[in-house]
Amino acid sequence: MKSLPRILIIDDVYGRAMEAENRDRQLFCARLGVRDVTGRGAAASVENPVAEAVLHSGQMRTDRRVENDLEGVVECVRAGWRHWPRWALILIDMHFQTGPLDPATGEPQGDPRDRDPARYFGLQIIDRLLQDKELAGIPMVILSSMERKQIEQRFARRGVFAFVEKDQLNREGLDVLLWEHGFLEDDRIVGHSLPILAALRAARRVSRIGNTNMLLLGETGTGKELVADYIHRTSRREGPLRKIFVRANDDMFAADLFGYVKGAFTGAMRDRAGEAELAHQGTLFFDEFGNIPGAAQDKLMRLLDTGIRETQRIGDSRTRKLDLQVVLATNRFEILKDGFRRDLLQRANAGNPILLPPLRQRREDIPLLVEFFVRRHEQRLGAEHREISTGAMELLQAASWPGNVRELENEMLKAVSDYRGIRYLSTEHVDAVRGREAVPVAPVPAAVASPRSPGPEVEQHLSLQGVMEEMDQVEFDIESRELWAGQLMGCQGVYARLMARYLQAALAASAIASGEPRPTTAIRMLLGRKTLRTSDAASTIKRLLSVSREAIADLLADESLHLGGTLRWAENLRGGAGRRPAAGQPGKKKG
Amino acid sequence: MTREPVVIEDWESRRSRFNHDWLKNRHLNRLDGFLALLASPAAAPPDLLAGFLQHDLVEWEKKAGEARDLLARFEDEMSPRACFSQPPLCLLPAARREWLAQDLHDLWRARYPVSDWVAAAREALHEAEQAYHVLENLLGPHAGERVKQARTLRAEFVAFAAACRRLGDCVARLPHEILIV
Repeated sequence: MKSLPRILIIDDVYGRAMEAENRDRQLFCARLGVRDVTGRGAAASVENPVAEAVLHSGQMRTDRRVENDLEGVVECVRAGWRHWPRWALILIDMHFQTGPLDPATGEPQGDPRDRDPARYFGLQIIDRLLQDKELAGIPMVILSSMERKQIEQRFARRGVFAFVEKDQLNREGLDVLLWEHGFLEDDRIVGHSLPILAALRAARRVSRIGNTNMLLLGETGTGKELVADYIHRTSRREGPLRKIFVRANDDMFAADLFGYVKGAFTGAMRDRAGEAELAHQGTLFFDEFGNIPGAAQDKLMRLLDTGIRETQRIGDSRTRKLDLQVVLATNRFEILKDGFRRDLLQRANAGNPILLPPLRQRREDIPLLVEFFVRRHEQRLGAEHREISTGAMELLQAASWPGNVRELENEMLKAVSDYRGIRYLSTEHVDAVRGREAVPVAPVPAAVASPRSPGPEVEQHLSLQGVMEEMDQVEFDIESRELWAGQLMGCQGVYARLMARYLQAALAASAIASGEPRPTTAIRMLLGRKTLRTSDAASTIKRLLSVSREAIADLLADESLHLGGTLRWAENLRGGAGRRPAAGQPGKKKG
Repeated sequence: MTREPVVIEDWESRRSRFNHDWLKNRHLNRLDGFLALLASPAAAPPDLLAGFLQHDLVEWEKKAGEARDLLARFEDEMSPRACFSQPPLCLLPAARREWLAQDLHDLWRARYPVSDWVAAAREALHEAEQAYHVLENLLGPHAGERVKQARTLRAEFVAFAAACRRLGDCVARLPHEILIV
């Protein structure tokens, strides 16, 4: 069962400690419809709360003064981000009043600097959170009654989703903010790890657009169908959700999708509407979209074109306009690179796919999933209710699960059905997964890992030789290849151009002394070596310039850069008897 | 050549204290929270309701005076005429300073709808004051009865909150710096 989303509100007035009665805070919580779960001073209950709230003043108070406490805020944010329940959203005030305490009111008298937009403490908090790798993915909303215009450019940053006037926010407004920007659980999709919550948020956002297409990318067993169902539910479209499962070499695919009229082909005994038509005003879900036969791709273009969105039954001359949300799903990441029409992929919104995380990226969810599947199958099979041992859970959490959630469910089904009468699930009942333990992996940072996530940091001050060796050793595992699908080629191109530019600079430097570019000298300089065999220089050149010839085609073609001639020289070299190119005349002189 | 805006710290900071610190951060929050509690009586703790009626709502009487004063001083303190009481313009010979200051003030009033801004804010303040008096009369003076009575006055509280919100908007719309003519 899903729990209430938990929000953090950082505000000097409402976040003040509850030792004395803080009516401002109690009434604020009542107004927003949130249950105050801050420390011991939980406030009045709220009917049907939209969220739980922790309120933090962001300040330190002594007997005489109040000061802002940036590090205290960061630690509070971090503590509530690492573990469940974690922040679904953070609301941050801008102006925090500091200074000596007014003896009459017990409140800080304020410092003129507090009101300086350039120094708003709220902006300092945002800056600090964005600098922190672990916290940078937290969705933030500014909640302030200060002038927005003065800080518009300062807060226009990734991760800050809205500026809400403090006196305008109410229960409904908070609900909308959470819906649009928050990390929210779903009651039908088990899990609250950040990767799955990020995927659900991405799905919700697209589903709001309406008449659109979206692509779900995920390995087998990651729940693409469940997410399609989620998208349909959250879109609140009036029509039904229709699903079409595309099988390889499916002759009936076009007939199923577009429908047909009587006599359109042998066996077409009557008119039949296709799935696309049946999904009118609703959602059409294509599972295994990557299997769509080439012949059907042409016709699909008109259906996927949101400006046209029409379908035509086979054998019919009439076309029908449709109002559809189309969800396409595949586990074939390679379709993004080849084997598919590029214009079809563009219409499928393949540039912004929703990535469904594999189970190995959401190990935090495994206990929940195990509990869910064990209970489900106990009930289904009339089996005994069992306790799950810590050892068994640890074993299950450590496994690699290439078949993802589906594989985990099958394993739990087997564990329950084979041992219906036991009340304790031990490691021996799930022994089949032993040996499938994954290589220990670093936790996914902030778990909103996207194709844009930075790769591992490269040690600084590596020599070129070191860089080349590092690059040679890089082997993206299958998971990363899939996550980076479509972008690896780009990375490779950037690397190729960088290497070519290095070599070009070295060739130019080598020409300073001798009047013409000398490949061996250039490579010697690049590698920082005193001596170098010509054949080694040639093989280095081939390595440098062969990373992606397409990416540096223009550089190779430009004879003034000497790169093309140098590469030909290196490729023609046999057994160390190298030749070096002269300026404008590559490969003519001995190196 | 760009002209640096001149800010009279005093009026601007008084506006900020009234409009941001009190009206929006406290008063409207309390009123809206109170209204939310009235809408769900089961969850409304009587102490909280009573505390609001006895301590928070009545703050209006004092703060309405601050609002009146703020609006009354707006023209004097935010007109470019105010620059003539500060260096370097205060160093001008008195005769020249007087007519120049008055001319600039007239130009400022002609160029910007200053009177409309202030009139709108005054009207909103007047509405809020009226709504408050209606409420106070209906709530009565006896602390024990005020909570019971308040539960029947939702519409009146909504009207008061709306008038206060309008006042906040009008005050926020007044320029944050001395507009140069």
